[in-house]
Amino acid sequence: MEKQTPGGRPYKVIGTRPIRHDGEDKVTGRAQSGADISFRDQLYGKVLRSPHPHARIVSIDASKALAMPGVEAVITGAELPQPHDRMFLSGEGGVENFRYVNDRVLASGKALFEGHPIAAVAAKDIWTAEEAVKAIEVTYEVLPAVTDVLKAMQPDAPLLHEEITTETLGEKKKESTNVCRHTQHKRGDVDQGFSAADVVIEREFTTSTVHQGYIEPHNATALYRSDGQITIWTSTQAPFWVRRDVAELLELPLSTIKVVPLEIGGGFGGKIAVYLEPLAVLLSKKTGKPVKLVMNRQEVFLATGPASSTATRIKIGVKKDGTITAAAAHLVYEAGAFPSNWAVMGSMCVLAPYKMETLLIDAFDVLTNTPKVMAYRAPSSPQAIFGVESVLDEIALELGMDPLELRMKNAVEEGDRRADGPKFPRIGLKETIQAAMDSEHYKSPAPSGPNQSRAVAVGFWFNAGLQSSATVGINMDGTASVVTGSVDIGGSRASMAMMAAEALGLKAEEVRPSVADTDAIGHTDVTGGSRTTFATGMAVYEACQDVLGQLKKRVATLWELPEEEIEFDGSAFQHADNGKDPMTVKELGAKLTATGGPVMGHSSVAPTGVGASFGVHIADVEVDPETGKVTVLRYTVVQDVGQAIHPSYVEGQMQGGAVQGIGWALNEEYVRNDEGKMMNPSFLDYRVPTMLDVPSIETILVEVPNPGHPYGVRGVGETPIVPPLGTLHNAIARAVGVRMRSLPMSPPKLSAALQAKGLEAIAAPTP
Amino acid sequence: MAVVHVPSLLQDLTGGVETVEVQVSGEGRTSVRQVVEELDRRFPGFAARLLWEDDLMPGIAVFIDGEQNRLGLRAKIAGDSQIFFIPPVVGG
Amino acid sequence: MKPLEYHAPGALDDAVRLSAEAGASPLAGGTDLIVQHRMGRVEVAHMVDLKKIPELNVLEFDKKSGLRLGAAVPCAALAECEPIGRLYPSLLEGAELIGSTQIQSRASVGGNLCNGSPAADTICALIVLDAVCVIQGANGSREVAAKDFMTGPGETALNKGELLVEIRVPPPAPLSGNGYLRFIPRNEMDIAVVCVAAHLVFDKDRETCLDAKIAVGAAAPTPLLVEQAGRALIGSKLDEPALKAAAQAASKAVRPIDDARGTAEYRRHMAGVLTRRAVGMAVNRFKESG
Ligand SMILES: Cc1cc2nc3c(=O)[nH]c(=O)nc-3n(C[C@H](O)[C@H](O)[C@H](O)COP(=O)(O)OP(=O)(O)OC[C@H]3O[C@@H](n4cnc5c(N)ncnc54)[C@H](O)[C@@H]3O)c2cc1C
Repeated sequence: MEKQTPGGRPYKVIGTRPIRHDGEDKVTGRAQSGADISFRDQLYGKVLRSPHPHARIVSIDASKALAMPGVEAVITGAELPQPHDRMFLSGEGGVENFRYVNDRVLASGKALFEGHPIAAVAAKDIWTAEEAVKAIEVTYEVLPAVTDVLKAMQPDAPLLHEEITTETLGEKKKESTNVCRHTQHKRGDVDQGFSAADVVIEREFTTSTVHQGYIEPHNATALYRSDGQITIWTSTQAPFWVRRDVAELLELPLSTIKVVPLEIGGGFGGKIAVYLEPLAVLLSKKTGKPVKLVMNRQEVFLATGPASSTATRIKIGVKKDGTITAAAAHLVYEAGAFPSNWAVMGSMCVLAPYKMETLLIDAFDVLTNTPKVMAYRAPSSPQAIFGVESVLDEIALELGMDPLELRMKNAVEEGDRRADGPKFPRIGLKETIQAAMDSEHYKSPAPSGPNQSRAVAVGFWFNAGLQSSATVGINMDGTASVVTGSVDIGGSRASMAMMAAEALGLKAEEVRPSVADTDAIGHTDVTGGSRTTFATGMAVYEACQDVLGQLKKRVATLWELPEEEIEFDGSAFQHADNGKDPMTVKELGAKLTATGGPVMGHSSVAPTGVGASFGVHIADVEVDPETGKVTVLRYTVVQDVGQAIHPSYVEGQMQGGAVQGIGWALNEEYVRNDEGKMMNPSFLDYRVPTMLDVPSIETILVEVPNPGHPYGVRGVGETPIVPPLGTLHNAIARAVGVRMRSLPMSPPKLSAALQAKGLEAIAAPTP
Repeated sequence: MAVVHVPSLLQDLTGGVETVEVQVSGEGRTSVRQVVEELDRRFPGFAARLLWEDDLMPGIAVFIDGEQNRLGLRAKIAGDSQIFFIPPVVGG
Repeated sequence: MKPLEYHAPGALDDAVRLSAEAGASPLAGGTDLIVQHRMGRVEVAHMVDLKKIPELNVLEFDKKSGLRLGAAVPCAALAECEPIGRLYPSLLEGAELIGSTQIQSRASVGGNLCNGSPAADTICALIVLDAVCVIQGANGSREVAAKDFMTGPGETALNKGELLVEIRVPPPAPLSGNGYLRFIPRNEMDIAVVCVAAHLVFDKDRETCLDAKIAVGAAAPTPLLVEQAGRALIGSKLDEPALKAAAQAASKAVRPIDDARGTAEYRRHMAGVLTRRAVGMAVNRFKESG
């Protein structure tokens, strides 16, 4: 019963693997990405960035730069309209204040992180712009910087913003502090819960700042015409949010700005906020010419939004049979240089997979002299769940229980309450754990060579709904075109076309999907939060229903029969007993002109019914005890994916998420020196895994359809980055008997821990 | 009776009480705003901590029976609704 | 990238003259130079391409005099020159670790040396193989031992206007083996945290070590020939005490720093670990050679 259309018919298109519509352009390099755009009279921009993590800007003198031949404009923070307080919904789900966006885009008064934009230049070519930036004279008064979250919480820590005090649900504390927010969730009496437990384990964990590591650097090209009309070409996950942010920052009506999203070379949450777009617009306004800015890799690392470093404390109590009686979590998240809500997100994820009578979660967002943290794939969930999964692994060992058994015993299901309160709708955690237990990987003997082992961990992400628009036009030959406002990052053109084809009884190849600019489609929120296939897919589905309603009228005209007697059965329009041959959408194309003209359907949705997604990962690892290097021998991702529209792209999401999580666990980190400056802002020394560092990632798709979507879609893109941190941590602990509790578990760190333990101990691991 | 789950950081106002029952007048006519007003009468200061410029505090959404309701204060509740005030989620 | 002038002389003399000019930099594969210029780490006004000069493109082997490797020969050519893999496996191993297939088609061993990085992947092998660098300047030519070629991070024995023309490697002793390995946290696209080359010569009993050379890279301002490590092995049958002593000597000799690639402590530890492993490789090579 589960794998069917809403009309109860088996799927024809959904679940198949057609060639993606944008595939050829992408593999041949013909697709136009942000940096590919160019105009005849275009200028090149470059940003002057603070070399100091924390400094007062005493003066900026651009006169020498402006005097250079070929330099056409210089802007500084003074050129932005005065910052004002105004809240808006940002990529992190919480809210941000535009006052701080303003300050982040161009510093005013203080440089708050290394790489903070101080000024921007437009010049006739890029090297002139680079030279001009060097000629701008800035006098800084260097201030002590703090980049470590725990140090930033200390009362004597350098303060980033004098005006910020701790906010705790409507209450503002009086003292200035770097702790900008305190969040709490509580259920029952947690002390009583712990005293009812037979085993209680409490541990502390840390994780380092990590970056999304998308291949394509940020870019923006803008043209500010003399009539006040603006066009921005950029690679972004959220063209409508770019428009909103630029309009808000420059105090302009939305209708004066058009954002054209170009093909995007990865985002993972990092291409939601504006960085270069407002600068390109301001420079174009000053010069009257199109201005293009492209970051280099160092700028991407220093001045875009990575994911929080964290310091967490997790305490879990269980009965002898493994039942959790209580859990407590204390979470501290790096916010970066401006107020953020990442600990808020972490607090909602940390205990979500498990049911328990009593819990207490305290979470703190802490300002540091680092770039403002932005969303990264299931933002905040990996760091929070890492500690929980590690403690559960220790508990399983202590109880002598299979680690999946322990999770199954406590897994949430429909009707159980999330740690933050509301009840879960239909979810598939138990099915996913069962699928992991039944997998060939888990049933096969664990690797038993020296320093080898196997472990598991669970992951969770909410997924988002938000707002989407779509139009579906029927061509005069009965094929269709689908237009949405969702930038295609993970193969959404293909999935939109497939859902439309399913709805209209066409083949996937008979539907042409495209992504529109902000002038050409209704408002559509970010491609992020694993929402696109769910919510934009819902808009496409609804637009198809609109089309089918209109087409039914045409069939009624053709057949001279009442509309109510005609039905669309998923393939064709039918009449029960008039003896007419069924008529397909394809056949109707040629008859549109004669029956009243073109047909187009449209829909805008703000859906509820978002389905959360859970995953279980299984890893086999081997540790080289002399070097501390970890080899991942085998890796399997098991996940509840609702209904896979195009299974290959669902598998791709699961594999990609797992690889990013493996990088986070093993090698990725911002390495900072004593002054708080980043030592490794390049892909040489910021080590994302390469093809040779991971085995072929196996996937098991568990399909528990989401009742909130006509095709059962759940978001799938974010959950898979969550479990690898705990999975690899636990596998390493079981292999060599050392619990690192600190990421990354890089060779120098792991080797030092192993040496501290002594090599004899390694020979006989006791986890 | 509808049940309001009091955010833990507001439980200082309710004397530590985690859930509060509220009377719902007629199916589908009571709004979240009325619920908040009712709670404010019983626990003075409640509204001030939850509202901002005649709306829910930025960063706080109302969840009714497990679903975020974008109508916020204007959302209508049923006789057996479970009401939560928690942050909304987007993602990466 | 800033615009610059490009020269491609066909004669060594012209190249020497052009390279002596202010703002000039010799260009071999460009896999260091162009990257550094683009990042603004070096300022170059003239690039003097060396790839068209015959003397820098020699690649020949002679049983008596050994290998002549022109300074501009791309790493990819080494695998195609049969005796290199058999007689100088440590050199080929180093060359094949540089970057990727694409990088190796451009990158030269000469450039690898002249760039002066203590982590360069071909230098340790050349040191243990007793290689000699042939240098040409305006006033003639001179020779410098590979172990003395690098003088500090980014610094070499070359004076301004001097070019490395070729590298000469004597034929290895008949009963010998050599090997090179580096440690990187990933499995490709990385720069050595520590690297070690070993070259062992055996007595007729095929067990006693007659001569041993150990070079350690990335663990001091220049690659080091660790003579104490070699001495610990000479005369032994490469038993555990000898290996331990060699490893300890390597760990003791290095002068590492803390940086984004690893801590000083870790590098010290790894110098010992890799010394043992490199010796193991050299022994295997010798055994395989029959
Ligand atoms: C993606 C990537 C990966 C890399 N991976 C590695 C690696 O794994 N290991 C490693 O060791 N290196 C690595 N490198 C660095 C580089 O490829 C090597 O050092 C390479 O051997 C340099 O050779 P080249 O011919 O390209 O030198 P070039 O860049 O042409 O020159 C390097 C320097 O030497 C000078 N020079 C060159 N030839 C002469 C000469 N004959 N006389 C005088 N001066 C000269 C140049 O002026 C310049 O300063 C990597 C580089 C890249 C881009």
